[in-house]
Amino acid sequence: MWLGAPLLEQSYEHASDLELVSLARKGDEAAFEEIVRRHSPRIFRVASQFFRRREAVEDAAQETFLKAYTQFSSYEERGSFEGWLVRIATNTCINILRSAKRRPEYSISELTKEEDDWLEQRMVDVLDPKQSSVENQLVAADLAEKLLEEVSPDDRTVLTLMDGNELSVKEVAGMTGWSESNVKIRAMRARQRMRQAFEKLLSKKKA
Amino acid sequence: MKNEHIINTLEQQPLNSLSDNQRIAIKTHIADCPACLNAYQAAVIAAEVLQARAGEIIEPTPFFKTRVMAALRAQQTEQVFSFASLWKTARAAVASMLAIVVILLTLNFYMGNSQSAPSEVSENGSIYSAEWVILDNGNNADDWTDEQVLSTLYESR
Repeated sequence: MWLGAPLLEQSYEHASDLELVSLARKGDEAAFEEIVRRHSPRIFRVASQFFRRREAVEDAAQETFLKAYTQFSSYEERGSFEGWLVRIATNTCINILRSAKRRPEYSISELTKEEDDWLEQRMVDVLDPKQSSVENQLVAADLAEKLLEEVSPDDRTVLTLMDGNELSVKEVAGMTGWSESNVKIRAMRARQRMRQAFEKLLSKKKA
Repeated sequence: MKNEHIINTLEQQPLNSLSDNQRIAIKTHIADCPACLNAYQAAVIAAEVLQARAGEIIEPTPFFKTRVMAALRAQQTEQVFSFASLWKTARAAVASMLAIVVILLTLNFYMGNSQSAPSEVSENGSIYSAEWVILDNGNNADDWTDEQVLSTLYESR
């Protein structure tokens, strides 16, 4: 299929990732455009774990693709191209979080009435979980975001990927570039912090 | 497990990956241990909110691709412009440095020429100067007598 020259418009859709990368390396913008079209849903899923506002997710995804464009030469074609892109996306998101200033208005100590009610309800039926409504899911997600705002970007990464998305240690190691033992240690520490934060919150409510 | 606390188990792996045996052991333990009950409640709620947050996915709009391509072109144009503006700022300095180099080379060339060989004609019209006779004609200096040397010196003055 690949002739080493620019393809017809329809052919880009059928070209493999490797073919598109080879063309994009030579400056073929249409090939890069197809890469963006093909992989943006996956990159958005990754960025959505780190940011909640659409604008922030789009910024992170755009930065990922621009970095990929300048780093095509470092892609060694051994692993999957999508895995390579996901790693760039994960590290881009972590770096954005590291450079961002913490926002004091997102504090776990200040809960809304809905969050307060949800927490109270969950304390009662924690041993007998019931199916959560869409509204309750939203409240829970708000609460998670407040908690995640208070932990470090690295802790946030392991918590959202492992406990939120149910990814394995190996998968998280692949996405971040950290070693598996490093992921395990970070996850343990992050769970401990998260649990302690909730324990503090629940003990306040019990009092 | 009855006398062991469950906190380590809660921290070592995600709650949803616990085996049935581990779950039974945890529930048995927290029935008698209020501290671990609090820890378990907190861990369950933490896991639940994290899963609710993980379910929030933002999908790309059809315009995202256009946005990235526009950003790429802007970045490329910026690179060209940054080189152009760098050249604009530096060209005066580069031109003056080049001029200095040319002047130095020219001076070096002329100075080098004037110092490279002794003058072949002395002031009194003799073909060789006294210095040339004594210093440069050293090959056969041994053949000259003192008188010849002295007379050559005096003739050249």
